[in-house]
Amino acid sequence: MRTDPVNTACPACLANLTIEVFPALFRTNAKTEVQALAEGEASCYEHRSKRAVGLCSHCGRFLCGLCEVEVGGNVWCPECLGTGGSRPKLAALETSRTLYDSIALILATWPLFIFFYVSVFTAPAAIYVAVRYWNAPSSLVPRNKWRQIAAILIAGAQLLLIAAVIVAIIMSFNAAGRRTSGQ
Amino acid sequence: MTAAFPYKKLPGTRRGLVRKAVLWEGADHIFSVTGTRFSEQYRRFYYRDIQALVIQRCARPGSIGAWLLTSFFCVVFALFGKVSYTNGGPIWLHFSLWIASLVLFLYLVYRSIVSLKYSCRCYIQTAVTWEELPSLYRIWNAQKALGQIRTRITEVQGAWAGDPQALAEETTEQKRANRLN
Repeated sequence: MRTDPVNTACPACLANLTIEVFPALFRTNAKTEVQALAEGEASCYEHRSKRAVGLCSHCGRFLCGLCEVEVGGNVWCPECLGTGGSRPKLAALETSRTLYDSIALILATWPLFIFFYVSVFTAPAAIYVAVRYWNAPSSLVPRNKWRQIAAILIAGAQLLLIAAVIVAIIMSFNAAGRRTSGQ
Repeated sequence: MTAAFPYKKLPGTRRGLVRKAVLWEGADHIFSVTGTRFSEQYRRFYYRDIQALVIQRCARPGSIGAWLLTSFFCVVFALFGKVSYTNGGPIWLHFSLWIASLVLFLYLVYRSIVSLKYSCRCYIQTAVTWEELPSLYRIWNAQKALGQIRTRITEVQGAWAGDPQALAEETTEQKRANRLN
């Protein structure tokens, strides 16, 4: 039997709602029904009066139904779950990542549209971030290295342009100085 | 979908100038990716744990940046078209600019209608959390995505064991009895 979505209105704000519920709403979690320890049985590492029902796949501790957490097909204890287990960290446990490739590309491109003179600082910063974090893990969603490559190329071009401008200014000052001294 | 990334993208993507949100369908959970251009945050909702899906119809403007850019270029094209016409420029130029301005204006009207009439917020409920799915903010995407999610949830959780209405009343009575005890 399958229940269809229900159309109703919120009693407080009268917003139009479509609600669909599933059997999990009324299901009790069998793991919360932890069994007491009998004579001769192994106890949980954290709860000495509770019967152990599993082992942590990382550290081997005995775990009761409350303590064992299944992630990625393995059973973990709360402590190993908190530390992420062995290195490298499990991707299934990661909740955030910093996108250094995007940061490098933003440092290389956004000043071009906002205020170009800031490129004196942001272009070297873009190259530094792109090179320093070249091998750092990026998004969990697969992506290739084009952002870092583009950041290095664009920032490099900006630095060359800035260098060319500085050289042109110096040369013009030298030429003006020679003309003045020649007179 | 690859072995390294065993997910299939669900309908609906939210992508602004800075913020973004995408939903992925996995073998045993939904993978929600939200964040900015500098970092991402990940949430996983396992099909066995999902208790309810809710769609709340409401007005949502969407990306403010898109509004501003579209309005800006609409006005710019109209002004340039007027200037070109006033200064006796080539006829194709001021017609092109006016048509471009008209297209952008019609897009703004379309976006207004969609924002007012066809927008929503989607929520997912588990035993421990009540979360919004920010990538599902248009009704058509929400219905498509939730349809796919519903199929997976039903596969994992199975059919209802009994009448849901009776189960709800039984649960309420149990909670009342527990409170009295």
